[in-house]
Amino acid sequence: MPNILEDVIIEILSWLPVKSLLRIRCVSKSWLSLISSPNFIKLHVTKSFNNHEYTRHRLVFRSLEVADNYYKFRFKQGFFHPTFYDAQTTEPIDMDDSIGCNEDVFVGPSPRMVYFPIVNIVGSYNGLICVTSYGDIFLWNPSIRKSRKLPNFPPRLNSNNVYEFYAYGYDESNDDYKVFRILCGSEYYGTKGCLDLYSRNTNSWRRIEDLKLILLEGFIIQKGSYIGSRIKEKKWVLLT
Amino acid sequence: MASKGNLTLKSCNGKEFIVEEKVAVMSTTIKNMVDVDDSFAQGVIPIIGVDGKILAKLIEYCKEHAEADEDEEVKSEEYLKKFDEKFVDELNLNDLYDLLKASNYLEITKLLNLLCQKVASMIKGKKPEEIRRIFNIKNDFTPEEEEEINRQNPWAF
Repeated sequence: MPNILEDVIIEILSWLPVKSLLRIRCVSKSWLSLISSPNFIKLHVTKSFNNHEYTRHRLVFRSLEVADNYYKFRFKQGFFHPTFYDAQTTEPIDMDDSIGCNEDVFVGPSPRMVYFPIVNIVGSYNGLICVTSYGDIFLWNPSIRKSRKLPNFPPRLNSNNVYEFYAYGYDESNDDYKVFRILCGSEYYGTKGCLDLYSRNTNSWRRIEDLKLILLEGFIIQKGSYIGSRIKEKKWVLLT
Repeated sequence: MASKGNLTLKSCNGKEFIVEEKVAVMSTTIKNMVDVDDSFAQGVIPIIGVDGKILAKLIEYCKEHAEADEDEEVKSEEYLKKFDEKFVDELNLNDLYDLLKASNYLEITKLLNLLCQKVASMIKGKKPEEIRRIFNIKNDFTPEEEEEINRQNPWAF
């Protein structure tokens, strides 16, 4: 197929699964730059999204394996299928080593001593998953098995802020992925706290202090939320 | 000359096809020609760079789809799906390439999508060197560069 137009090549490649695309990046320099370009990636995501047979959709599970005195966090993925979760059809996916969830966690004589989640999925959007792991936070793309560690959290200033909640979402108006961390005291209603806001576009955290927090359902935020696009200082909207 | 409601399409090697307008305007390019210039609707529309064999194929496809758009009961979604499968399965690599070029030029989006999917399924499991051969692409990486790219995702191989 000589001299095939680039538009047609793009269309053809957009139908391929990620694994094939990674394998054929080395076909030529122009293919490498095409496959790596943000526009192509967006096209590919949109196409996967609109695939109503759900052959490109995946469910990602966090599983906790217990062996003797160790806990091990693992991620598994399975096809999005009407039968839903079937242990037989899932396969383990490794995150890169930086996330550290492949490490054993020593929990002492009783496994029940570890009751708080060490590796946690904050949320997922466009196939990009936000994960907290051992006090660090990552954006993880399981399709290409790559993650990016976000810059360290801004320091805690107020020792009363003992609770922390995370939320992750996509800000459509700025084409940006954002992560929130809310620090607050032990009362959920009317407590003062602060909000740390990470933007992927600037790759930095910004702090909004002395927020009067009205968390109607504090725990909802933990479960991964969609963040609306109207995020303004001291006037923000969290949609779950 | 075509009767009212019909258009005459002429391939680059002089073959003429009389087709219903609803079939011909599945091609956005032809639709634009007819919309802008009434004389095309009366006379012969030259289809540059597309020979009779390929044009016949294009018309076969557009006819089925135009009829299905008009009457879903006679040609159901399932029927069309089977037709599409058979249509692409019978193509050899040369025809596939010619049809891709023609449907891109004539902007027959549905067919272009179908053909692109077919090519994608053909190259899905292929090695880079096989893909270079199919698309006639010259490898402009040094072996070291190629190795470096592949090292980034060893699990994909």
